[in-house]
Amino acid sequence: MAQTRIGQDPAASPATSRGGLVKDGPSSPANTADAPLAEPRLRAHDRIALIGSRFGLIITWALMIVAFGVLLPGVFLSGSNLGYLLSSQATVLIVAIAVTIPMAAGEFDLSSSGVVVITVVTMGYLNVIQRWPLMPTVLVALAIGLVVGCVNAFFVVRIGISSLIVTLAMTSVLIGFALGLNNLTVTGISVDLVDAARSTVGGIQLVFFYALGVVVVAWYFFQHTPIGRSLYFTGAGREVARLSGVRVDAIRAGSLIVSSLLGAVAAVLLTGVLGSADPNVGTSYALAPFAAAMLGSTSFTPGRFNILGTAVATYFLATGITGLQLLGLAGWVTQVFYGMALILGVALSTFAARRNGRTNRA
Amino acid sequence: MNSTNQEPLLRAEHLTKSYGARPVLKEAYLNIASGEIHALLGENGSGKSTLIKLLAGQIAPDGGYTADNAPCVTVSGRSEGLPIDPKTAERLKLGFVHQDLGLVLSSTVMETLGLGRYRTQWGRISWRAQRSYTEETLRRYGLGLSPDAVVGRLSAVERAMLSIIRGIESISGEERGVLVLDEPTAYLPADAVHQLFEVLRRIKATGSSVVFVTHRLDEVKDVCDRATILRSGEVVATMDVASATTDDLITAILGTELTNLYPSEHTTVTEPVLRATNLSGAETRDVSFVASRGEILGLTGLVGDGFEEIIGLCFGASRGAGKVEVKGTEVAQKWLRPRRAMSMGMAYIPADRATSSGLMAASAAENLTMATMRRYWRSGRMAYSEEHKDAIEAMRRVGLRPLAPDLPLSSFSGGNQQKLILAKWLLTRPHVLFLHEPTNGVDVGAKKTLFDLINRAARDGCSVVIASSEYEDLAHLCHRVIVIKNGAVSGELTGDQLTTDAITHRCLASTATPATS
Repeated sequence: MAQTRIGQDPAASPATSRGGLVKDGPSSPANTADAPLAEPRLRAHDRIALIGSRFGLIITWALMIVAFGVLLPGVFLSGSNLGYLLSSQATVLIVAIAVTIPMAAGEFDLSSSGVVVITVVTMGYLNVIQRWPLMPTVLVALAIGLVVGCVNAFFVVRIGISSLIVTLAMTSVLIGFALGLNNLTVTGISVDLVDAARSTVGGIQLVFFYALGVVVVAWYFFQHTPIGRSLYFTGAGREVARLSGVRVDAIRAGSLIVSSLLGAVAAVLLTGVLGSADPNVGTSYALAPFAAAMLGSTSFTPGRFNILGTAVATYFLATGITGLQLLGLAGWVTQVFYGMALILGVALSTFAARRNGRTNRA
Repeated sequence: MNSTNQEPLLRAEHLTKSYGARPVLKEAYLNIASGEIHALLGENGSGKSTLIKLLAGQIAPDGGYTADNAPCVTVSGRSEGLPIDPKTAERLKLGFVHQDLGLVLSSTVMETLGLGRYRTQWGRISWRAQRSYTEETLRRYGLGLSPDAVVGRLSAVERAMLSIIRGIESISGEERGVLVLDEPTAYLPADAVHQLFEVLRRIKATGSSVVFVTHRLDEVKDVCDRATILRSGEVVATMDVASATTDDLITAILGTELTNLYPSEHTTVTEPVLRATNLSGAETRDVSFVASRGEILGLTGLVGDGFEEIIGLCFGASRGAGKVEVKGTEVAQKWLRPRRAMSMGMAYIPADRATSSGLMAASAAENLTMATMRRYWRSGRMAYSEEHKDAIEAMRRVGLRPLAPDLPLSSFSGGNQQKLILAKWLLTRPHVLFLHEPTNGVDVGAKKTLFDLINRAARDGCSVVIASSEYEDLAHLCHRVIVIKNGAVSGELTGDQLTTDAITHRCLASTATPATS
């Protein structure tokens, strides 16, 4: 109980309330009178720690870009490299946003890589081998995401099994089915889809702008709707949320369904970007989204999963890998980098959560 | 006790601790005589818990001291600098029972009592010796438990007793020791408290001592010899309990005289608002009652008799059978959910703040508007500035400090957290307000504010139902008290009958089989 918290700057609150010129007649003097009662002002090093924890990720990212720019003059900061960086990570970004949603509600969705694989393979199978037109193929692909999400939600929310277990097992099931359907790379995906994903605007593929759209919509929901608030409440204290009238079961189920659906969306776009259906794409989607979500939860609103954090962290990680690869390190570096980033991300977010008392204890 | 002039059994000195920029303890000290039960008193946030944690070595004192004021603890003449590690605490015969009890829920009673002191034979644990020790210990304390019972399945009372027994056992032996109990009675019913006091008196008789942290002053009068009082991190007094009145203690704790702890104005009871019919749950069957507009109704009994369950059933927090009606809208209990209950005009504040009623990591403002957040959802976005303004207004109304809606709930003291949670539910403008042990772990000052707020809510037309085993509070606050026995209504007290003694008597007397102690 007797702990100083550095969650948000208490000194800022009276100022903001005074700023709003709304019929503040009788309360203004009381406000000034109460000011000395506020927590003691943050000391200088606490202030730095606060800024550091909120914007540490962005600062590190900027430093990393500068470092690679110096180490790889004319290569790293070239327009083509930056365009490639933004475009190539767009689908990872969508999946990262997807997994952030259930994580905010206190549930894990590990099945995203499985959803991506089964959707990609189905796209190739229906569109190329069975010669289906594009639209029905896409609808089936999205339906797969929806169904997987519903099955996950049923077992997690209705039956009450840990989401970690259900979605981990689901990944295996989905990848197995995908390989059973077709275990070879299929080329010749509908040109319409390829164009829709790969046409460039200012050197950046359209897929990036779709991802940006997903980020903005998700951010809006998280930040500006009661649904976002309810997600956070459910994740931070399910019983408290339930007893305060939050439909926690609907929130948990919904978050898992939306997550799988977004995974399918990412997979459809990925098929367009690659112009082919490769059953081995899953590995890029197994760890990176979680590393990004975890790392992201340490910034902007430390201790809380947030969309902006996830988005920045996705590109933070991609920047690191691209830079290292351009420096001549082979492909293995990706795996090592994401693995280490995930561990570090969890460690940092645990630390941030402890600092902000996210664990709901006395 | 006339033990003040001899060398104390435990002496802790120069206890100074700050969190960040805020000092929590300033040169505090503790002197415990041999064979005494010593109360440690103070409001929430006065530094009691910090002092205990320093003694236990859970946290380190502030650095920057000199040899003259080095923080240290001396037991039976042996001095150790702080922080001490658990092994040293054991050697000094310092035992602790912390508020959270520190039990491993998946382990058995035998494992719990054996923790750290297994009986070994040629290096391996002798389970037979362990079992007979456990059985003998449980018998000695009159606790009818199987050594193989899993801790997680014990009742709250049994868990508390188990943790306390473990603490006592850790200081037992030839030498005298000191047992520190941090609010052990908060979740214990009256009969268990008496059982505990018997044990404490036995410890005292052996020359060992007990440090007893509590908010309940009647318990202090009942069992303690002396009291050390903390205010704002400083020791302000050490007094003999026998020569001090409860008012003296309150004055010392608050630093001012507290007049009229219980507001006396009672409103007149008129139209019925809440009608519960044949409610049944895990511990109750066929409980029916009516609560009226402006009425403060108490539900009480012994813990375990089911009185605590009823308000949760009314709110749909747990499943059961029966019917609940509010202002003419009737719902079968099995279809009732918190959301539905809220739309009918009910509000429910569970006893366990940390797990059921407050989100510690969320900000004060988020907590305040949790049940009413849809009000701020306007033209496609959350009206943050409006929410902020309402939060400050609500915080001011309940006298909350600091007035910082952006701080996380965890940075407020227990009493202020409870005020904030009450404010949260008052924002829903409920017809019926359910409170479960509203003053649990709340200091005297905050308690008065809470009582004022509850009274004001009732005066404004709300029907308040309080489930509590704090008989004294109920006697003063309520217009009517219903006593629950063995899961059913056993009696009702109103008007002149409504006294602490009458409630206590009613709760204890009508037991079919008297509690064995």
